[in-house]
Amino acid sequence: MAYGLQIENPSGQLVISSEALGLFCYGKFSAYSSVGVSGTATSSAPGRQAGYQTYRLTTGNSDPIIIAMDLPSGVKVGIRSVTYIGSGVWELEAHSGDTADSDGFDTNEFYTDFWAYKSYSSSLSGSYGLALYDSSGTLTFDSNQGVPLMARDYVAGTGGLGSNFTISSLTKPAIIGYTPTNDTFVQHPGANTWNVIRRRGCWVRSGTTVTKTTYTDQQYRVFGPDAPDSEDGIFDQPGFTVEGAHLP
Amino acid sequence: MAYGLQLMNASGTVVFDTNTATGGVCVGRYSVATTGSSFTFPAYAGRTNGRFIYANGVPGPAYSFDTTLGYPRFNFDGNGFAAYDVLLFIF
Repeated sequence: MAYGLQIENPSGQLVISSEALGLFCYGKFSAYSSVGVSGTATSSAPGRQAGYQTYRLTTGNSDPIIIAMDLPSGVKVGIRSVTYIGSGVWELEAHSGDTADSDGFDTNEFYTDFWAYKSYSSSLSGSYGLALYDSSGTLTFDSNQGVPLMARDYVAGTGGLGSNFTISSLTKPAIIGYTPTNDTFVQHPGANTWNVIRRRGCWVRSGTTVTKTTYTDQQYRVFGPDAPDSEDGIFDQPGFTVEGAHLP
Repeated sequence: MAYGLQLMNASGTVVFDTNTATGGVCVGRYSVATTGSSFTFPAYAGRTNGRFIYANGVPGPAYSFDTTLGYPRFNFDGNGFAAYDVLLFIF
């Protein structure tokens, strides 16, 4: 680069660049609604379905957002969907639960903290602090708009389910990174009887260990001679940890 | 800290510190075609590492990073069923 600002950490890794797409924490989602676990796993579809919570945040526009999720100890946290519902409002649907029953459904559900990161708005928000522009004149960093994205660890999310990753010691560990892993497997508990079990990806933390795992999202029973389709959907699940205690 | 940049909030708590941040500046959000895509960053010549996260909940099967061209290149395999978005970081 001919001009601009780059800063590296002590390991020589680039952590600020005036040419990069700066991201900052815009705000925290507000709890909106909660649906509890319901149904019976041995019934026909829909059978038993996991609970989930919805949250909303007004950003004022449909510009893309990136979600950070709190990782309370022992709680399975996974994003199910993020939707722009109009009028400047985003809706997040996520699962946060623990205390799994014998079928793997979390029976204890609660609201968890989720935050939205986005790129800086184009106008400076203060008259002091640090602002950076790229070579095109676009504002790429502004210390006054909010807490800049400060990644503490990279969790590669590789390996199969149950893979563990060590993170830094944080006051309120949170992670940015969608959890796309989903699969469907089939059990054969008896003649002409099949259990179809759908699982969704999530994270669970214990101390400074974060584990890539799943929660049971749906289970129902199909009757007949032919096995229902199964689907293998175990993918990498990478993420960045951040200090949630520093977020709004 | 001996050097670097720190930002504090109004309470004086350090909320950004280049000394303890891990690497990666975001270079943008990109869509990977169902048949796969590569993304190159000549402006970051000399930088030798990349990271990514999924940006829209749709997964991809395989990923690699190289500097064979003299600058960062991300290679993503297509998943065969849907385009997926990734947020790319270079350090």
